[in-house]
This record gives sequence, structure tokens and C-alpha cells, in this order.
Amino acid sequence: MWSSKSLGSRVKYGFFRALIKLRLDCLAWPLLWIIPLYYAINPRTKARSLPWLERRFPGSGSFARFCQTFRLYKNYAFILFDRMRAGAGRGLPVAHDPLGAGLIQEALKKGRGCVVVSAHAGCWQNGLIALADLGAPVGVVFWQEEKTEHAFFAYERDVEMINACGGLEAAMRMRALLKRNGILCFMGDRLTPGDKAWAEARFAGGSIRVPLFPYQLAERSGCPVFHAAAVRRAGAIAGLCVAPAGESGKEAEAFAAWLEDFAVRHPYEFFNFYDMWAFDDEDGDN
Amino acid sequence: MTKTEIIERLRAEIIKSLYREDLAASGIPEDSPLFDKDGIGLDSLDAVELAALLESLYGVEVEEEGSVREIFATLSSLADYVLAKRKK
Repeated sequence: MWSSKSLGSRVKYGFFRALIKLRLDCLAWPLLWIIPLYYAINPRTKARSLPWLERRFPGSGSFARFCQTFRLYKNYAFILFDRMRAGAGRGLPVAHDPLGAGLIQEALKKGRGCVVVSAHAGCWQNGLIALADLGAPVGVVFWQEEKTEHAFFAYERDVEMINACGGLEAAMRMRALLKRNGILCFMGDRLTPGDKAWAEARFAGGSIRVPLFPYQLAERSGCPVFHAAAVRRAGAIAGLCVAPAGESGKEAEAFAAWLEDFAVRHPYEFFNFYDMWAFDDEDGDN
Repeated sequence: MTKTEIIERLRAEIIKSLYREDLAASGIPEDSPLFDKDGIGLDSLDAVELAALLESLYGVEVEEEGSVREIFATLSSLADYVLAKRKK
């Protein structure tokens, strides 16, 4: 299964984390340009960006494609670096879109919590963590079969990380968080081995599979669902693009439409570096 | 309220509320695993629903920490948990 760590070795992550902890960010800035340049040149890493870029910018020439690949990887590098800085307690600059946050705040007034389905787009990790600024407990559901590297998820906000591998215990933690009128966040653009239910929906000219668990959980918990992603501008979380999930039974289509709108407007902030339109039907993963 | 009564009620609720009418004919043995593939095959969403049922039917809240898997293991263990929590 592809993950955000697939593109960088533990050594690279460790190196950048060390620079941040030593407050030597200035040494990291040049690398945040040089490494994406290498990724844009290297045929193996360049190929990983093509499933999205070829759909978003069909027919581009080789130089244009190189520039697109570089911009995509450069943005990705800065977003990962921001996340590491936040993880090290070095700040999480936020300038939330008041309208988007308002939709979630309004829903929380009902006292039943809400589910947020996000995607690997924009500064998704910091964006979800910053939801804690709305004054509600925030939980982020992730999937990690190996032992969790806690430092990786250490943020300066009080956010509960829920490993979906936890089975029934994880389900109870999700329920408890919603009962505390919390915001429970999932990623909707990727199936995990634990996902048994999904629906196909049209996205960028093809079909993708959208996990249905978040919507089913929300339905059974009686809470609303929002699609949300944060945009990064000038080193800050500049806006939260939020939309209600809409009609029951059509959430996958609504998610794909919302994601397509986001990805078309922010093509260099869409970070699925694999062919999400091709399915591996052995395990339902994509 | 006896353990048998709780088991009967939960058995009926699983079939009705979790839409497992397929189990109506064969029934759900009280010691059959609820969440294992070898047993009834309920999933995480069903666990959320069951927890809500325990709360609405018996006023029993399932603690998020602790031995959730043991509590939800079988109808019998669920009934034991309800009885133990109601005594407190």
C-alpha cells in the first residue's frame, strides 16, 4: 500500500527532523528545493506523479511536465516540512477560512460531533490538526500495522490519533470521541486493508474507490459529515475548503466531486503518488 | 433481570437492529464468537451499534479503554458485562 512515507526513507525523515529540533531550518530550505528537483528528474519518482498530472494536464510537453512534477514535489516537500515543524512544537500558523470553519462549528452546536472526510491534498495533516482550534476534541483515524512511531504524530495541539488497526477498541474510541461532541477525521481518497465497504465514483475522468466506513459510522452515530481540506499558502494554513457530504447513499460521488473541485483549483496540492484509478482487487486496496 | 433475559434481548436486537435476519433461523448461540470470521462475523460498525444498544437498553456505557474485545466476545460475555456494570 502506498503511503506518504513511500517517497522518503526513514533516514531522510530523521535528517530533517534533526535539523528542525536543532533549529537549523535554514539548512533545510535549500534541500526542500533540491530534493524535489531530483524527484522531478529521476524517472522512478517522476513516474509516480504522472497518474495525476497526465489527467490534470493531458498533452503537456516534456519541459512543461518536468515543471509540473517539480512544483508538485516542491509543494509536497514544504507541506511535509511544515508538519514536522508542527510535530516538533515549532508552530502551526493558521488563517482558517471563517466560512468553512463556521459550517463545522454550526454542526457541533447540535452536540453529536461530526465526521470530517479529508484527502491527501493541501496541507492535510496540519489542516486536520488545526481543527482543534475550533474548541472541540479532534481525532484522526489512520492505518498503521507496524508499531506506531509516536514522534511522527506528536503535534502541538491535543489531538487523539486512532489507529484503525485497533479493531473494536478503535471503534469504541471513535464512538467516544463523537459522544464528546468531537471532530473525527478520516481520509477518503484511499482504501486501507481494513476497508470492507467502498463505492466507486468518478474522479478526474476515471473511477476511484471511496471508503464508506466514515459515512456509515456517522449515520449510525447520528452526526453530520463534511468534506474538508486545507490549502497552504506562504507557510500557513490559508483556508479550509469545507462542504457537507450531502445526500445519504451518494456520499462517494459527493466526495469525488468535492475532491475534483479542490484538485482542479489546486493541482499542485494533490498528493496521491500512485495510480488511484487502477485497482488491486486481491485485497480491495487501491 | 437475569442473564438469560439479557441474552435473549440482545440476540433479538442483533438480528433486528444490525440487519442480520440471516441469523434468525439458526439463532446466535450464546457462546459463539460475535466478531470472529468463524463466528457471527460482526464488524466495527456493528460494535458501535451494539455499544449504543447497551446504552439505550440498559444504561450501560462501554468504556473505550480496557478489554473491549473480551466484552464483545460473545452474547454471554456481553450479558455478564451488563450485569456487572448495573450492579455498580
